Amino acid sequence: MSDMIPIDTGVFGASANVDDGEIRVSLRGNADMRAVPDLAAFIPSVHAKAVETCVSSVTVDMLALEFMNSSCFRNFVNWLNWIRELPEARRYKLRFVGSRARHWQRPSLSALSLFAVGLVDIEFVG
Amino acid sequence: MTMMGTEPYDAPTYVELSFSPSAELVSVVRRFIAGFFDVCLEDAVRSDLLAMSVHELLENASKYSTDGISNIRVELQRVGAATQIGVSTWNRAEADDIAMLAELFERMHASPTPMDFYLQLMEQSTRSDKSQLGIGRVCAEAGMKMAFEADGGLVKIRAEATISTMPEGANDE
Repeated sequence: MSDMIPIDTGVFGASANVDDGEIRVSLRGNADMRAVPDLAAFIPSVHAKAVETCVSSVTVDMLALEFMNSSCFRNFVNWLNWIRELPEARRYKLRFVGSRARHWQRPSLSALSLFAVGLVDIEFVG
Repeated sequence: MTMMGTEPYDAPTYVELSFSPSAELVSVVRRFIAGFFDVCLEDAVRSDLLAMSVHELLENASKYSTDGISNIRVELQRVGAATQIGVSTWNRAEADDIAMLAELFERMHASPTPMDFYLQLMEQSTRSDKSQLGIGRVCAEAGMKMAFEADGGLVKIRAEATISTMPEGANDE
């Protein structure tokens, strides 16, 4: 079984829950350079769980994410690349839920959707 | 547009900072300069994108700084009906890192569009230990035009935009 060990550094947090066959990841705080090592360990564990449980999508809640730097963002690029490399029948989607009030999120998520066409859904709320 | 309830700013309005140690203070400086943009631009979308650019450029500067010191200057100036925005960072760096940055900027300027360049960097990042996404993010996500210069061991990166050249779709549904 893959352990999705939550991150809580005080300034940045990430957690993941499996509920009714779905995985939901919640990110919060400030993902700057100090968050990179933790996130680089966390995301592979979520991917492994998603593959293990054969989910069709993973929801990534960014509503409470103040900021994410490019080194942390790279972990999502890698994640999408791993999904792209799966056999087609085993691929799943990343469904990002962003905040309308955090304007940096929109172009970042749009870029991810161009990187992995068909594997990214984006919704903005708030 | 008015600034702080006064007359429009025809003279340059700027903030210039030097700080060390760099890595720990980048987010603090980003928040401070985001407040500067909020006051001067009165545009939350552009302020957010500019703050993101400041963060990426500062992390870049701090990553390559050989003496731990990073410097930034952010300036705004009205030019006709538009507002011109400039973000400059400078730091001392190793020759190998300067060469790597020069090559990165050559690739940027040779790419058909900023997004093409950014997507290339994303593909490259999946096969490399280095991210190098920050520069691509600034030009593709914030729509800033970027320049690089090196003089001896001093590296300077400048990003510029005018209000009219910022990405129109940044606040679209």
